Amino acid sequence: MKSEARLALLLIVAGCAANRVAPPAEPSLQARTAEEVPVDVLVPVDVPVPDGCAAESEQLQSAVAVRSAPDAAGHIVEMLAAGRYLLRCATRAEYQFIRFPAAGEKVDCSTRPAGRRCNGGWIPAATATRTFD
Amino acid sequence: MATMFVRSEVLNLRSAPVVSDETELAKLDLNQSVETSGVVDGAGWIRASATVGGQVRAGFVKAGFLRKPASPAVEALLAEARTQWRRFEYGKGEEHRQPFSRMVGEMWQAIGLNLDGEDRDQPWSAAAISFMVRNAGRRHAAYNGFAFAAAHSRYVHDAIRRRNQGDTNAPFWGFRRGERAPQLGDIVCVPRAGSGVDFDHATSQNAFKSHCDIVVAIDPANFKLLAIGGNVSHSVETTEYPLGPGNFLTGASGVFAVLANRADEI
Repeated sequence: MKSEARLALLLIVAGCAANRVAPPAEPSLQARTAEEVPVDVLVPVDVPVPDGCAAESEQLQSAVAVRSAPDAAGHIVEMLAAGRYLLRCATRAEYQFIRFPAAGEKVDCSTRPAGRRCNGGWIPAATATRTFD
Repeated sequence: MATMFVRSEVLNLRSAPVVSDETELAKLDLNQSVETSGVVDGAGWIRASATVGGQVRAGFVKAGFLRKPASPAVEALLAEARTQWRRFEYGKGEEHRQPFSRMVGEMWQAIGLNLDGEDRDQPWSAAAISFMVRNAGRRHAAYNGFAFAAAHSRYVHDAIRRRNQGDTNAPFWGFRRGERAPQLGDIVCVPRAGSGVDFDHATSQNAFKSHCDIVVAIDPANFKLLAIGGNVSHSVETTEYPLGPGNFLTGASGVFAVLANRADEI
C-alpha cells in the first residue's frame, strides 16, 4: 500500500472512532425539563402523531380542551377559545388530532418547517368549527 | 364620441390602424374604459383614446375587442374586480409576498377578521369577493345588501333564499346553471374540496366548500367567459369557464349556481 493510501485509510478509521464516542447532538427527551418539552411530544409513544393534516384551517365556534391522548383521560395541554384556528388531522375513535398555532401566531401550520411545527393534540372530532373558503 | 370597454384581457392601442411593432402605443386591459369615435373602418379599426399610466393616449384599436357599457351597477362591480386584478399585478402578485399579503389583510379586515396573506392556511376567496362587492357598494348602494362573509356558502345560500322569497331588495338572486346564461357582473360558483355540493344542497344549507368568481367578460364566439376571483393561484386572477349553446355554462364548467346581478333593479 502506498503511503498516501495508508494515510487516507488511517484518517477514515480515526473518523469512525470519533463518531462512536461523540456525545449526541441533542439532549435526550429524558434530560429535558417538563417546560422544555414541546406539546406534541407529550403524546404517548403508543399513540403516534398522525400526519396528513388538512391544509386549510377551521375556526372554533366554542372553547375546547386539547388533550394529550385521544380520550378523556388524556391530560389537557391547552384550552383553545372560540375563534381560535386549527387544522384537522387523523381521527381515532371519537377524537381527532389537530394542529394549531399558538395564540397570536400566524395560521400557517401546513407550511412550517419540521423544526417549527404548530402545537398538536386531540379534541372531540365532533367539535363545531366554521370553515372559510 | 362613445364610451366603450375593453373585453379582452389585453388590447393594443396603436398609433395607426396597422398591426406592427412600430405602431404599438400602449396595452389596454380588460374592462378598461375607452373613448371612441364611434366609427369603425372597413378593416375593423376605430379611433380611441384611453388613460394609460396617468396620461391620455390616442390611437386606434380593433373595435371587435370592445363592448358597449353595461348598466352602471354592473360597471361598478366590473371596475372593482379590475382594480383588484391590477393591484395583484394581473395574477402575478402572490398572497404571501408584500405588498400583497397586506392587501389580503384588507380583505379580511373588511369582514372583521384579523388575518392576512401570511396566514397561509386560510382560504380568502370569499373574503375577496365580499371585498369587491363591498367596494362596488360605494358607487352603487344596492350592493350593500350583499351577505358579506368569509365563506361563499353564506352568500350563495342567501341569494337563493332571497330569490325564492321574491326579495326584490336583494342585489343577487341564485339560479341553477341551466336557468340562466351568465351575464357580466354575475357570480358563478363551483364546488371544491370534494364537497360535491349542488344547487339543492346550497338551497337548504349555508355551510359547504365552494369557490365563486365574478363574471368580467363573455366571449360567445370562443365559447367561454372570463371571471375574476381571489385566492386563484395565490392571487387575484382570471379563470375561464366554458360556454355551450345559448351561452349557458356547460356541465364541464362545474358551476352549480349562477348568482344573477340585479343591483340595477333596486
